[in-house]
Amino acid sequence: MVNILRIFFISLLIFYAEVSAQSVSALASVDSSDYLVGDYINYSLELRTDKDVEIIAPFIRDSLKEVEVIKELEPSIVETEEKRAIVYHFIVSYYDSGSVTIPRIAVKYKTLDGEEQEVLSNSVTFTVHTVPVEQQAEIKDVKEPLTIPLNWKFILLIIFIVLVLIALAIYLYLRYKKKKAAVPVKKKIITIPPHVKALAALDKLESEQLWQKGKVKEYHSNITGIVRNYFEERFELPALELTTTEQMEQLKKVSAAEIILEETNQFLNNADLVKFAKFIPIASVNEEMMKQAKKIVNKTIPTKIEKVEEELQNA
Amino acid sequence: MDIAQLNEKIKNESAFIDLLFSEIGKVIVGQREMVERLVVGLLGNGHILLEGVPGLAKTLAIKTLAQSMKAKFQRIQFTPDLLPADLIGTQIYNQKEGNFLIRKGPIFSNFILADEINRAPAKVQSALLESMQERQVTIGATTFKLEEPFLVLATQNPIEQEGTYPLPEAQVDRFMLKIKITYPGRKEELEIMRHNINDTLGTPNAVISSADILKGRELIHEVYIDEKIEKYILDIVFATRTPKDFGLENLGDLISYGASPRASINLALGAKAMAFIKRRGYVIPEDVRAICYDVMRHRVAVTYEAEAEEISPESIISEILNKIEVP
Repeated sequence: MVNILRIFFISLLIFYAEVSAQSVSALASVDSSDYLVGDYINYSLELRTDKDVEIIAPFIRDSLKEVEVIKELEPSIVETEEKRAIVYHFIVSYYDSGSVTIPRIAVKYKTLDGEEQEVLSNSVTFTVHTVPVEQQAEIKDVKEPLTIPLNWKFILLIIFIVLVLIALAIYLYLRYKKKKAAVPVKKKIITIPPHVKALAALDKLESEQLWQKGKVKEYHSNITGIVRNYFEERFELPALELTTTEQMEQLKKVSAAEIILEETNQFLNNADLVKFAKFIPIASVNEEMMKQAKKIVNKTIPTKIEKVEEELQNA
Repeated sequence: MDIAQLNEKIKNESAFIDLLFSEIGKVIVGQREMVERLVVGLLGNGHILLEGVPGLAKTLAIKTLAQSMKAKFQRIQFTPDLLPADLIGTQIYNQKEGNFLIRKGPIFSNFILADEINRAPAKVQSALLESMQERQVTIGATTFKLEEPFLVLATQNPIEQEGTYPLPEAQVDRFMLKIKITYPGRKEELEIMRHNINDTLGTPNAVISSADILKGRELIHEVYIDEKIEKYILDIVFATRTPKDFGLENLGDLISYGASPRASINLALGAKAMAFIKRRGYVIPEDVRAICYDVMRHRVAVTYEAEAEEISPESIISEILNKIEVP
């Protein structure tokens, strides 16, 4: 019996020496010893020190690996003339049943002479139980979903945003209407009529004297090119992308081109012979081609020429 | 040779074409374009794929063409159980003499009508397409040259695709032309109906010989094609490959791959044949335009997007032709 008492006394001394080494003590605790799965557990670590001891903020969260930390509360500090008590609060939870032990937490501090020391808190053990199932009780239906109460602040925010958007839309609409109502500025664009362009191009080609220089094929390609361009602008035909036969078919559909059908057919077919069949015409044929081209253009000059094109320009 | 002389020569030597058309016209009412293209294939030494719904005189046209010439004609109905040996021939053991004899298949003719080519499995199609390309057939260890002119006209039905073996793109490319046959006009159909109920369809006579065709083929090489036309052909073919370069950005997503160099070759050859048929010694852009759809439609592959939008290769070719400047 004496021996047992001796061992107990020595253990108490060792425990005391560890927990309240020198002037610092660390005491960990929870608010109960039994919980249900998922219950909130209030865990606190209380440090009692002399006022002149500097506590190095402990990393308690890292030590709480056994449990799920839900929230860390602000530590509370109580000071007297000589002592200071700091309590760190945590709300933790555990999602399994069984006995849980939060291990001892090491707290470092500096003594007056600057020496760094460490004190260990006690470990905390508690039991987590599952929800007891009532085997004999009547089976109940699933609970109805809960109705979330109206959040007036949120509804007001939505109404405010909608009003702002409506105001913005009205503002933009009025601005657009104002712009539309503004007097349009008329811009006069002088367009050169297609026949003027074509005749000028033919004159230029004539002055270049291509066939006289032996460039017969080039001459015939250019002269048909000018006439086809003229057809594009004058009759709005895609003449440059059409073959001679297709051009003739299209021209037949244009009433203004009726008077030039025969000449155009002859003109284009003669040019095709030079362009694609290595045919070398005599000088008079080359001259005749120029005359024919000019005739085709002159015969189809529109009687009423729209010289001015008005274009609306935004203010 | 001077172009005027060449023109005159072609005019004289191509006289048999009119005779041929007139004989075919005794039996085939309308379908002038199809008949013209059959002759283009014949003169261009190319093969033809005909596509059209049943009853549009595809078989009759080819049969008539063969009858109008002193040439051998064979029709092979492609079925799923057809074997390559049924086409090209096989070796048969002669019990009496104790050796193998070669029995040549129907491919040893001048005109082959491969009816519904897409109904036969790939190995039969390959055997035919190989003969078309090589113009020779190997049975056992012996290789036989096929007799000229050798023209394969394959038909396929655009409907009833179930249980068919569509020709792979690489094999379709071997056909010089793919002709799409449409229904005849009202007037033509009335004529067809009357001819048939009164049994007044004529019988074609053999008016030309194989030699005429072979001579025509030689003459086609003499038909003059200008550099401008060559450039025009290249522009069309390249527009299917890089439409962006030709201001056709909208086609970029519609073409999965463009026409192969076979398209350029066949377009030039087809245009020359068209010029010959028109009895001209030189090619004009009209010849290129006339044959363009038939040469290109099976060589331009459209994307899934284009298929979903129901955009056909023909509409893509039309857009290209409408954009590229004619020389």
